[in-house]
Amino acid sequence: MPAPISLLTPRARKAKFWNKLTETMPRKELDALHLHKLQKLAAYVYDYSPFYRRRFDERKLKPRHIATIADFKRLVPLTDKQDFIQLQQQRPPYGDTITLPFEMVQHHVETSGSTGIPLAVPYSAYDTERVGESWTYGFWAHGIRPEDSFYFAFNWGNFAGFWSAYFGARRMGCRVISGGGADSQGHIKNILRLKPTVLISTPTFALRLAEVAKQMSVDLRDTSIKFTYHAGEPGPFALPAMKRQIDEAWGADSGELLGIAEIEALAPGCPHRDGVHLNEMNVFGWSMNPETGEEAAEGEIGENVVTSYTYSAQPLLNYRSHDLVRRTYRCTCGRTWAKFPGVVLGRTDFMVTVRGTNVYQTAVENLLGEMKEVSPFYQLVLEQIESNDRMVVEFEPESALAESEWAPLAKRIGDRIHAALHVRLDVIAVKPGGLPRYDLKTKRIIDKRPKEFRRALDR
Amino acid sequence: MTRDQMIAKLRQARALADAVYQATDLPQIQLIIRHADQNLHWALWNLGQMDEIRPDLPGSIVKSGSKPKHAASKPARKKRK
Repeated sequence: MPAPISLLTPRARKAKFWNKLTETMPRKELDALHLHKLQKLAAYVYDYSPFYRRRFDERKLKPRHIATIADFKRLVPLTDKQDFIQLQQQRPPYGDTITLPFEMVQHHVETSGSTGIPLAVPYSAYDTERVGESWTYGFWAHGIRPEDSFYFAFNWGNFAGFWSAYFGARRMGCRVISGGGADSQGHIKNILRLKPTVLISTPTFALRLAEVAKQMSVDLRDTSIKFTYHAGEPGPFALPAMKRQIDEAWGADSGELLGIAEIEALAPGCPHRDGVHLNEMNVFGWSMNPETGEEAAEGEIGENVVTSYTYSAQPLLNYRSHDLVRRTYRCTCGRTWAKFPGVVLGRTDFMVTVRGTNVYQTAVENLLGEMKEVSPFYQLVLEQIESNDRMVVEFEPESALAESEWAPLAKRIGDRIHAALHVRLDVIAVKPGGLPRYDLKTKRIIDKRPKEFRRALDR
Repeated sequence: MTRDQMIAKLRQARALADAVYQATDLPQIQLIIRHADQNLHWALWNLGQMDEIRPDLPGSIVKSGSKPKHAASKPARKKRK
């Protein structure tokens, strides 16, 4: 008998970590590696990117001036999506944000454009190899193995979306099934016919599919799906109620990755399923107080400022993600990589201050999700009245709930928000089916504030 | 095999692949080797050894005899007299 053909040795197959060496690397060693990479990256962009050379020269900054991690945070100018969009608009498709010859750009994707104009993202072939790795760390921690097969409820357009997850599934050697072109019913039929074990979708689309399956009299708990994995919007590790809803609907374990299309699929899920770990092999990050620009201490809420080592065709250094996170370096799962419990807690651009209290999107979402009479369909409307921010919660009650119960339910939600967040929000029940449905990113925030009170990209 | 030994082997593999890349004019072979080299570079990266941000930058291919300089490498202790 010939020797069996296998992707992994039996010992590797039993490994708890995708890469124990890197995932549990002592902080001191990780930081030394970060400094080395940051210095090399600074030299690379200075040599090859007209944009960064100009930015560095304006500050009389040379890569050799970066002697410590603190130097990098302090000296390298912050960048923002708007910088790159402007340059790309001046000279499409990439402007002088690009560092590599055009022949080395092998894949083009774009951001969703949900905050305005899409940002073009060029990948080199090597970038596509590396960007999937964060997913693979998360897949392995979640229990997914090479014998699993992936169903992508994704349309494979130019939107970056789940392309990186595809690269990650390929890295692990898994079978990939495309759901491109299928409508919701088609996805359900494909899953029944092709028997994948992993569903990849946005979290709200997993719930949308559950709603459609119910209409088709299909019990998703009886399908082949063992795992679901999500990104693109607050998911199961940010919203415990959503975790419960997805797990119950699919009879599977849901997972979550935090990604930013133009930066990286940067933070795979923790096996404790309560947050994500920053992939510190691919990305460097720190937290900044968005109001003062000072570094936020461990455990404090701050804006996640990110540098990617692996997007080498269009590097982003000290990039303002506008995601608010609570960074910690302690986790009993054994990983030393920074953890964001609750994933992203809110956005600097969507954070509203109502009567002196900062209100975060996920805090409101978590409270809504805990109430059984509230369906997964709701939106938060931001308005400005007499110079004050106002947030209105619009939700669909569960369809079985009598209309006479809607107003008392809205009052109970308002009271609950008041008790938990110490702020009174207006809560309005909307007829079931009255709020819009989305296939990819669900728009939870409707910002009606005057343009001058929003970031330029959101206008 | 220790981490340092794995790093040394991977560096050696990169140097061997590069020799073929430099020696051939066949575009197919050159591009296949480039792809292989990316993966070798990535394997080194994920052993905590990063010589350059990209494998095709000058100085990325380190001589196989060079000592690894990853962050875990400890400087040799001076012998006490």
